[in-house]
Amino acid sequence: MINEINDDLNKLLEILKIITEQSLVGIIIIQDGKLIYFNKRVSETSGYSIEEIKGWNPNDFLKVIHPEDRESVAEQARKRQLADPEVIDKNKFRIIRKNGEIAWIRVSTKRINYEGRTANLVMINDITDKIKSEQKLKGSEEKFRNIADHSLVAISVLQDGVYKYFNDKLVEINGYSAEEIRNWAPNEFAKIIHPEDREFVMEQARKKQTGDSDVINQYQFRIKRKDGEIRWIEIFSKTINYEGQPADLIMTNDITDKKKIEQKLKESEEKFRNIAEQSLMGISVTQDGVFKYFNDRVIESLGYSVEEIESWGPNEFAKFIYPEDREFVMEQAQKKQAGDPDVVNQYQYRIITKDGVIKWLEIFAKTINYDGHTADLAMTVDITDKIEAEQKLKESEEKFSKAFNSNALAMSISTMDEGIIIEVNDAFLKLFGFSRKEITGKTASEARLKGREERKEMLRTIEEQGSIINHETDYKTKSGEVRYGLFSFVKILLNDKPFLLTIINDITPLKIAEQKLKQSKEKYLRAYNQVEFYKDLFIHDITNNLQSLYSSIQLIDINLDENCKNNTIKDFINIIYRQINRGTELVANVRKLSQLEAEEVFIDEIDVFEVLNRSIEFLKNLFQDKKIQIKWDISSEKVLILGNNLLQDVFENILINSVRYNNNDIAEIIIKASQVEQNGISYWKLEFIDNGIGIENERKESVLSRADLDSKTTYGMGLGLSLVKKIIENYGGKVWIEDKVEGDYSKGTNVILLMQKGDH
Amino acid sequence: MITTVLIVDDDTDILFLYQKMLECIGVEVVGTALDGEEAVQIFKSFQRKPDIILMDHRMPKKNGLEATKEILSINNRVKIIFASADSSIEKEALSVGAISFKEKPFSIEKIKNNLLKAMNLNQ
Repeated sequence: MINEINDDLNKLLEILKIITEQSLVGIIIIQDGKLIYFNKRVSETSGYSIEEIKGWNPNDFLKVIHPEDRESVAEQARKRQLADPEVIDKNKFRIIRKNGEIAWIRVSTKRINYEGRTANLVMINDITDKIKSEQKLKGSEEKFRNIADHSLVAISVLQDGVYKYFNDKLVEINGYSAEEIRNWAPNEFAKIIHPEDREFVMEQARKKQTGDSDVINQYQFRIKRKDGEIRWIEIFSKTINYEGQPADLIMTNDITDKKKIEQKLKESEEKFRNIAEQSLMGISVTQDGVFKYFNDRVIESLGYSVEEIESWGPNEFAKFIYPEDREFVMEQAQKKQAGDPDVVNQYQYRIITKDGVIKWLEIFAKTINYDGHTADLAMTVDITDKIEAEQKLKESEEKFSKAFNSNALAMSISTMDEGIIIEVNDAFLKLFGFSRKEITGKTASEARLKGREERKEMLRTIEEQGSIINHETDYKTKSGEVRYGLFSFVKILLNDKPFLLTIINDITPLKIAEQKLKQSKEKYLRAYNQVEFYKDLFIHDITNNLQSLYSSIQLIDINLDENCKNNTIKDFINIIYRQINRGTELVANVRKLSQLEAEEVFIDEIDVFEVLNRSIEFLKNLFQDKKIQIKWDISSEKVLILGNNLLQDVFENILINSVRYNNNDIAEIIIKASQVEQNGISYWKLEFIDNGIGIENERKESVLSRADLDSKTTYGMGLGLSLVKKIIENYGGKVWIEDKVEGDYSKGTNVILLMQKGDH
Repeated sequence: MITTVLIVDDDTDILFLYQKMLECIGVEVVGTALDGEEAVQIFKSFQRKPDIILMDHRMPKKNGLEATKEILSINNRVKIIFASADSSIEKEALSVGAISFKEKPFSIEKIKNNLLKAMNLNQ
């Protein structure tokens, strides 16, 4: 039995020996500071041989410990010896193998009973590979975290509706602080997604957080930043395993600027495409002999369809170029397609349209880079109309030249600005008396034909109205003779520069005839008026005169027959006297009038006082039974005017009217004289202010002319004031009538004479 | 019944003489006016309108034609005889309602005949 037990024990020991010797864990037993046991693994771990280790005292173990860890390990050893309860049983630190390699070991120390006494069982695991692996992993993680933290792309991990990780870029993009983002409740991040995009984005996020494979990894959507700004972002996201759970790894890029640029680019492209499509110019890009691009205008010009042009082989387009121009045009096209700098960029050439019509095109072409290769960008304008117009213009100019030189009307061409005469025709030379050499190169004012100011005014009119036709004016010839002409001015273009074409229709003979006719008409009119005047005079004034005489004589006759004796003969005889006086005065006035009209009146210096005194004496004799009061308002002792013996008729007419047309017991007349200046001429202003019945406003002018036939007077016989006007105007003076009291004609009349002062 | 006449003329001598002439032939001159406007006013003022108006044409304020139209619009029974030197307005005078036109100068007999004719028309 004992033997069996011994056998079993021996077997057990054998097994233990095998286990300890073959163990992958280093085993050391230390008792009382002495190395009691260590296994082979210790030797393998440290690199020292078993013999070397056997010779070590406990302190020798410290030499294999890495210097940086040595102190802490020694500290733990000391604590263990002192049975310090704070001693750490499990520790890991570095050792330096015999070959100098650094190895990581994990050490577990356990207090055991060995041969009846306390000993330390130290278990050593070589964890170098694990540590290295951990360090490598950690380094890798740090590296990636570093990359993620400093990425220019926002990186975030979304799990259970919250951000488990996000970098600064995400903060920058959405405008919320890191603190705010961390505090968001599950799915609160939805608030930053634009309402129109929210449903789609949230569904995708949810799917990726749950590991759903039916997802879209890349898309764009809008977010609303904390400050309210809407921005476009693009995300690349996928499901990852994060801390053992599916999560949504999101890489976010702010593409707002890119979007804007894209939009602008798109708009710009559309704009330029529109411009090209809508251009009035034909635009084409030729590369490798074929049209790579052409707009509608090209199609219109050529008459070929889009399909036809697109089907053309290399250089087949040469067929629409007019044969005579083809070689040059094709050479230029090929050079530009090849990028040859020795080219002509602008020229004109002819094409033959599909319908066989020959057209002129003007081309502006240059080499461009198109799809990475040189190409010929050509812009063409149909100038057929322009060429034809030029041709017509040329023909027109030739015709104009013939018409100009051989025209019977005088013509000149001058520059618009300076008015320099550059060409005149033979008729012009004949009319003005100049030689061609004398007149060309000079201005009209230099040639003394017209003044500078007159020309300026004329140019202003031409600018406003385009031309001046048949403007009648006088002009001077070289000899100084004044002639008359109908001037027409037309702005013309010669070699694209504006010039003034002047056409002169000399109407001097016609003008002279016209003037004679006018004078004749005026003379005739005057004569006619005179006849009418005298006819009127006889019809009215003399007839009334005769009626009075006739009636008076008949009544006297009746009285003498005693048929009707109720009247005194004396009354009728007085009327006869009066009528004879009126007739006599009328005859005298007619004589004076005809004298005024027939010849120039001799005018001399007259003393107004002398004439006035004679007139007043005559007035008082005439109206012996009427009280007349004359008041003088003249401060000068002498009033001298230019006049003659007819002045007394003037004064008498005015004074008689003042008394005759006066219903007051006393006829008052104020005679006033004052000096005035008008247009540099000195006048005496004589005023005759009465208290008579007055003259209505509407008759104030007409009573001064014979046209007022209603104004018969007893003594003036209707000639009174018209004679006054005629005489005063002959003196170079003026006459008019005002109210004595302004606005109330019934208070009396003021007859005003403005008469030139005498020499003294 | 005595015939009544209003005389209109702007010549005071003629007014006086017409008045004397008419009185000699037994006509009563009920008023005189120096112009057309005064004639209209006087005519309006008459309680009993005159039988005949002896009307001149060329006068201040209102001429004979204007005065005639106005007076006839007030009372078209009055007979108006035009007495003017201007025969050119005879047709117009008759067209506006004058019964006759006497060209100046005329005799007492002629004006008497005209007045009688006018009176016969009145009857």
